[in-house]
Amino acid sequence: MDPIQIKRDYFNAAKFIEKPSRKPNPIFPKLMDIIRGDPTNPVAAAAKVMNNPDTAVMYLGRSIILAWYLGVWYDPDVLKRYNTPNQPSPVPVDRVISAAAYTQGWTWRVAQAHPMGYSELRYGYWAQDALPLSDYIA
Amino acid sequence: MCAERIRDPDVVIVGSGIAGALIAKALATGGRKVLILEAGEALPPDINSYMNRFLMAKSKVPESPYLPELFNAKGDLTDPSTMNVGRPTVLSLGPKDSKFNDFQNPKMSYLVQHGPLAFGSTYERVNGGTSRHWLGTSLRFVPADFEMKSRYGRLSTGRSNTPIWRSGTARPRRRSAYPPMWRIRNISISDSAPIIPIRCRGLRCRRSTWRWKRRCPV
Repeated sequence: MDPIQIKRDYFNAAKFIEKPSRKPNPIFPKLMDIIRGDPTNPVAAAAKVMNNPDTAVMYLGRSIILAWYLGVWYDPDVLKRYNTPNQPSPVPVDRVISAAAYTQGWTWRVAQAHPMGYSELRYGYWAQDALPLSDYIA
Repeated sequence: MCAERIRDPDVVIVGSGIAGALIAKALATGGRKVLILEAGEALPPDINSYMNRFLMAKSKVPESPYLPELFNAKGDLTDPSTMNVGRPTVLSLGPKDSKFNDFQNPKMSYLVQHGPLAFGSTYERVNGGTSRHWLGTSLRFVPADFEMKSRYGRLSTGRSNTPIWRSGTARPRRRSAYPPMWRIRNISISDSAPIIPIRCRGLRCRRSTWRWKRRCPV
């Protein structure tokens, strides 16, 4: 269930290379082939992406995880460049994917918080106990 | 727009921020026709444009929701003095240490600062002025501010030389014992925030700023 259809924002971020001019990302079909190759076992498919011998696929997978978690896009090439000893920090963020992606970032759930100016909690929520963390990250 | 409706103002106030609004209110209450001029963006019909701009900002700082946008598409800082209603951003008001921070360079910080320490706060040039954000800076006079000469031997304006309250004596309890400007500011701002206690012992002041932030969403 995704009433906000946030996956469209994620797909748009992963499918295209924005800079210097928007064009399809040639790595994305490779990643999708791996996921589609094992439709019954997404965990195993994700492991194949994250341990892929083709590091371009692996870093695109990392960018997608960060997008889902934080709502911002880290360029896979930048992630690769910064993944070296004595790396400077922080890794520069390429862009916020969308306002919806930012407010839907999973990190807010893990923190049991909400971004400033946006909340899924509705009137009267304070009368109930907070949901346990396991409800968010199980 | 509204300026045409007020053809013969008694007073024209430049800037719709806190000071301008308070003065306008006092004058209008006294029966004067007041015209406020504001250079910055008009009030939008709702806060969605502010919220979207804030949520899309890579660095979420107090001025993120408001125009003008100081960073271009490449992420570089534009000289704020080259745009309409430029103003500083806290992202460029630190000591010179990175791409943008250089509080002594007006092309970065907009403010002209000569001192060794940065004034790291900002303001807004939109309808409502700096009341659009708090930034944790809500300057509030304490009695010692009105005793700069008698207590510290320093004075800049000469207007507020009268000692209001001397340390070692009982602190006045009634608000009317404080200077009028202190009172006007407190009463007006307390519409949106509670009056909070300031405990003073000499120069060391403490105030619970978290209470302000809790009441002010942006």
